[in-house]
Amino acid sequence: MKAMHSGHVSSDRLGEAARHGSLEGLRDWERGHVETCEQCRGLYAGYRLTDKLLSAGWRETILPESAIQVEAVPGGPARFLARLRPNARSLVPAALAVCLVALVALGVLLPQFVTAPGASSSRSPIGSAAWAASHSVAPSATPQPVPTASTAAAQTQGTGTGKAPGGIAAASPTSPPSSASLAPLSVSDLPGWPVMWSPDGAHLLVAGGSGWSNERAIEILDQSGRVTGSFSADSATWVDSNTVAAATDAKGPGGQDTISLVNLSGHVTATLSGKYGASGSGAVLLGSATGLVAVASMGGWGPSSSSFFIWNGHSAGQSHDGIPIGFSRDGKKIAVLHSSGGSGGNSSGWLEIVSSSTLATEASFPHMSIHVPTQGDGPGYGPEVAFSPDGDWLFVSGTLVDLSHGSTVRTGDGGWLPDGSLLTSNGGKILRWQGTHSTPDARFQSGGSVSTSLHGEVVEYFGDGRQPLLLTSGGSVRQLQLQGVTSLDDAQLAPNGAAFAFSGRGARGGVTQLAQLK
Amino acid sequence: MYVKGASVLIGARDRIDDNYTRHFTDLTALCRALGAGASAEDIAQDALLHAREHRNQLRDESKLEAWLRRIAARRTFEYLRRRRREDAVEPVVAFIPVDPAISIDVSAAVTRLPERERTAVILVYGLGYDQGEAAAVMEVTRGTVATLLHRARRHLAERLAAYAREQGLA
Repeated sequence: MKAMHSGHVSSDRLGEAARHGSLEGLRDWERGHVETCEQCRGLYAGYRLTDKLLSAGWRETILPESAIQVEAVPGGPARFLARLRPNARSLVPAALAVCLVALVALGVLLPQFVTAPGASSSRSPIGSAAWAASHSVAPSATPQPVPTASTAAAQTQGTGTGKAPGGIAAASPTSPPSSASLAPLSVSDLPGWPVMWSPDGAHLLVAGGSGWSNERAIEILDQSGRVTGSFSADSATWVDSNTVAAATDAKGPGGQDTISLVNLSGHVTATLSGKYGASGSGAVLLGSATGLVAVASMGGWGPSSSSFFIWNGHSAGQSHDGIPIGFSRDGKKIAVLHSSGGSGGNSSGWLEIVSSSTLATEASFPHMSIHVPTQGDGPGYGPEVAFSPDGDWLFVSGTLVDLSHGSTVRTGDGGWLPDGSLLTSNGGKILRWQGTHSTPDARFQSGGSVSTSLHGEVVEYFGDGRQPLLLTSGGSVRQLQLQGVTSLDDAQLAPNGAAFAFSGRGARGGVTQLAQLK
Repeated sequence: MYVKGASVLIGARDRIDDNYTRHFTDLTALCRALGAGASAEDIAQDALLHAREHRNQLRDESKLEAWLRRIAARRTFEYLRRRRREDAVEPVVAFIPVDPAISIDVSAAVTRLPERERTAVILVYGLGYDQGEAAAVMEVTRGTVATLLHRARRHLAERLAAYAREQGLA
């Protein structure tokens, strides 16, 4: 199919050309367009200046006042105010006051003249945020705002005429996100980062400070952000939706490592003591979400001997060589890495799939090398590994492994959807993978990262000031509004899609918060 | 098993002490670059003391340097978070690229990148870490660092577009 060339040259293409210092590498139509388009020429120049700047010598420098000024966040009231002339800006408070009086008057007078069919005349106490949360349902007696063009579009999307591959209702790619939910989400502060949701999404673990290793306070929060329990450990992971496994390394050469099962109140219900770290590092834990925990004795991520066993809280099983990196969803299979070495924060090795009940080999791929980061965002020891819903594929830190054929493809970070497709963010594009074939998913904006839930909800978040988008399991796209948050660095959507935790930046620095979606 | 563990413990401690000055210089530079300012030396010292006390947590001796940097970086981020909570004033000193031909106002665009993009840019372009080393410090994957750098470059290009055209770089 012949490509259409009606738009601007993509930012990536301009960046690539700038890296080579010339437009020669562009296609004819691209070069012709850049020569006549001020915007593309400007962006190309911006890339060249950026490369020049980044390769300059770096040093600590006193910033002039003009450089310290905080930039207006794209969009929103701040930008609106910044664009006004100074004399007009001074009129804004008065204008707001007039609007407020008008709204109050409207609120008092309107119900006396208008009564919705079938509705009682008493006014609803539901506030704007609550309305935003419940607007997709159509309560018969609650007064509803008059639909605007965009809310009407959103409601149309909600009914979903189209279906994406795999059965998820798809919004039209050209439909704008719904603005009906622009009321700020209800949020609460989190005591640290990173976080780890329980398998059912009802609770989350939060590590005090930053990072998971080194003994630190770990709190268990419910979905509303209320602390239900806390404990101190070097690392922790969910064993099932009501139980956490915590590892505490031995204190001194004579001590023993301790692994505990902790309930949602923070109380220890079972303990296992021993010497698990071959290099004095303590045990490393991997939870199954189905009641099992793999306890690994690490010989390091290099080409050294590591082994693990399965503990169910009552008895410990036999030992097996390798590093356990992920359980299948039903807890019946474990992906095991046999490390052959690594450098620069990564380890590589070959993959084996074993039965969690017998530790018998189900599949092995000695000729296929996979790479995993030795440090990652997750608790314990890092690699983000997830089996596909059918167990035939394995997603390992941005790489998709075909367990039927023993091949790999680089996909970028992301997560599984219930239909077995994989959604990833790769080089700023949101791609949907069916097997090893990917197609851009036009429901999302470019430049974001995605977090998925087990039910198919997706949050797309941005590090550049744009507010996050929510794709509901029904297929409609809603723009979310996080007050006081200017960019998101990381977001973890709850497995049940009811809330998401995020780490980002606000006007006054870093923020870690929990936002309610349902 | 125990003997092997013990020998690694001693090895790790000795390597920290033997190369104390080198580690201290490296960590101080890291903390300063991340924005710790005058507190950089204190944080670096603190990180080294912490590392000595918790050296049994080092799982692979060959990763000592990355481990120390990670501890120092964590402590710097915690310090910055605390400072932001206590004092909303923006820092007046920053680790930025300086080119005599480019205004400081323009260079300061780096300070306005989103936090993680800025950190990746500082580590890779400012301190010369490779992407794997930066990933270890930031506790993310190497791919995430590559993505952050890609985004940071695009954001800077968008912000500097007008100035760049004035400079005749188009």
